Amino acid sequence: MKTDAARKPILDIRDITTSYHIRRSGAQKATTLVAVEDVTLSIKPGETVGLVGESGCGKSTLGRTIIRLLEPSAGMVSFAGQDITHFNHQEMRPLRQEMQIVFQDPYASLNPRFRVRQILYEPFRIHGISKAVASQKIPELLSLVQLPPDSLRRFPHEFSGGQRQRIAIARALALEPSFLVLDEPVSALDVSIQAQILNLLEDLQTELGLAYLFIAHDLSVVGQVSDRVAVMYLGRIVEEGPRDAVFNSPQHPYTIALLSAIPDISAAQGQQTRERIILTGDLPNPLDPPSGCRFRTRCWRGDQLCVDQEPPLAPVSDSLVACHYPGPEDSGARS
Amino acid sequence: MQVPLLTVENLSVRFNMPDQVINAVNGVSFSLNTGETLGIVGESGSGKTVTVLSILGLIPKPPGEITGGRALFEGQDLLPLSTEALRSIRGQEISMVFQDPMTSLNPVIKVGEQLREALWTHNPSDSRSNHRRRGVELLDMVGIPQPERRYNQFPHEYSGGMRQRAMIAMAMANRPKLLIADEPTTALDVTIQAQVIETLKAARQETGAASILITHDLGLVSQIADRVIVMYAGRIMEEGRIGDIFSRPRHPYTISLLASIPSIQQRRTKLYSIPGQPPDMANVPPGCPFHPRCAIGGDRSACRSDSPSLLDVGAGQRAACHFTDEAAIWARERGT
Repeated sequence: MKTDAARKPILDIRDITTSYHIRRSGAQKATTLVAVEDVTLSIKPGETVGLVGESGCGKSTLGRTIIRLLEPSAGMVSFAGQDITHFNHQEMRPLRQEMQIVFQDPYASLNPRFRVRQILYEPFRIHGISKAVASQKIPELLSLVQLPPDSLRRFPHEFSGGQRQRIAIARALALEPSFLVLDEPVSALDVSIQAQILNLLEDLQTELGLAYLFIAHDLSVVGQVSDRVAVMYLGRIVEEGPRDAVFNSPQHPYTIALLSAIPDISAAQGQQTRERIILTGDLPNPLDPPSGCRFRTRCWRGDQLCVDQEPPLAPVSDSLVACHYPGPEDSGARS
Repeated sequence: MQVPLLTVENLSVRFNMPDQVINAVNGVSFSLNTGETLGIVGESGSGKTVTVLSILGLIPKPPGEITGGRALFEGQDLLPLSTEALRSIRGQEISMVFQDPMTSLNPVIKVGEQLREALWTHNPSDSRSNHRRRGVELLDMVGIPQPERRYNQFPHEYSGGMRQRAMIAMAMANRPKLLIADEPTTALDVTIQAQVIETLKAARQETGAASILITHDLGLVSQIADRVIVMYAGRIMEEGRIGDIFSRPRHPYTISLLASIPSIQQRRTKLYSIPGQPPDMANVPPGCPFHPRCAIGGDRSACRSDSPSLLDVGAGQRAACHFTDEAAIWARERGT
């Protein structure tokens, strides 16, 4: 366990902005899509931070910026106390052992022509670790993710989706990282397999003291694994706080709507459920976000202030909330 | 006694592949009353979609083959019908909404034109302007803003949620008696999913159509269906009213599924994880197909050798398990 720096965050990002340059066809000018804007977040060793939001909100871009697969256009990324914002490929290389990523689709992320042995050997080869060390480590990795030893001889197509995700996790763990970005790791899996992978990830965290950034669109999955949760909307974090605070007393209207939109089985089991809020309209075009608060076009609380001024992320009870009129829904804030 | 709108009896479907035979649906029976909503839940490969597609004559033959059973729609067996006869029933009496609205809409034809075509096909004598008026009305019914303008737009000008709503409008165009929706919101974000579900509910209410919702999402089914069928390996494992299935499940598979999904209401200390992998449909385990992954049956000989039949366990609830009483006790102990 790497707990000597337990209080200090392993990952710290400040005011991160990441943009994509989009070339348009014909006479139109090239434009810039700001996918992530002014995001500040930190993750402590052994902690899971859940990042939720709908498609296009920038959560994956943020995950890729954090591990420097993308370079931010503003702000700072620091990892284990080191400013890595502008590290180049060479400088990043030793750090790649410390931070790894697991992708959503275990069909696309494993080379179909490689046997599992080769897939798991790749990280060692890339980092110049001897074959002797690797061949000792590889069987350990397999047992860590609870795959049978004979898997090494087989190809990815011989495995089911859940087993492939285990292979991808084993590969991510090969070089003993301290931090993993998990980008929708269970959303391509069947319900009965999701729980297996979620439990495995929790066990691995306890055993290895890993820190996770868990990115998902599914709030119930995020709620199951996270210590803290950040909710993104159109490139910005709108609410962030301890898991129970965000789930039990959400303050931002978007979080409230998102939580109420999840079809939950509790009602069918005769339990009390929250009032359902159906948001109107679609996500605004991220190339042309609304002025002021970005959520105002779908919000039922907004007024002129929300049009004029972007609300800053500010403390409200146990969380940070970016809203001019924060508060639980039954407080009568509906206008 | 009400005569059901749709009665499926002992339906079996297999796919004869070059190197193997896949028994996708095995002796499935269920019925659906007028105005009722039936949910069919199951994981990928459980046979939920094949069941419905074969009723509508939409599985490719070969390799698909319906090896037995009947599907009575208003008393008429659909299975032996010719392609032409089925085509006039589909879209008129029975219509479908699929998962991916982008691939079900023609990208080079305006949405309004596609709606008008659906109306015209089944009512060719009506005038063009009448079709147009009805088309705009339909878009308005499914909550598409500015329906007049949207009528003349192409599918790519619609967002994902609007496309799916346009599909619902199209499915409702001829006031079908049965609407089948196959994973209608799986491709959509949660807040958009909530909108589409409301639209489906409203459309159902307005036309009084019965509906079948096929999904992997237990939460979704619990919100809109009256009854639910839980499928596994091409068989019905359990069937019953929503309230009964979710609060008093009797089949170990249903119980396990419910225990394995996270709930936003309360964080579980640890999710129940169903061991093993979903069955390989070319080599389904003998006896009860769920037995290798079952916490109750496990290695009992009855489960390994005899396939349990779907039997009444009270109040219109049916379960295909040799040990439903033990399962019920296990469910209570688990607190599901």
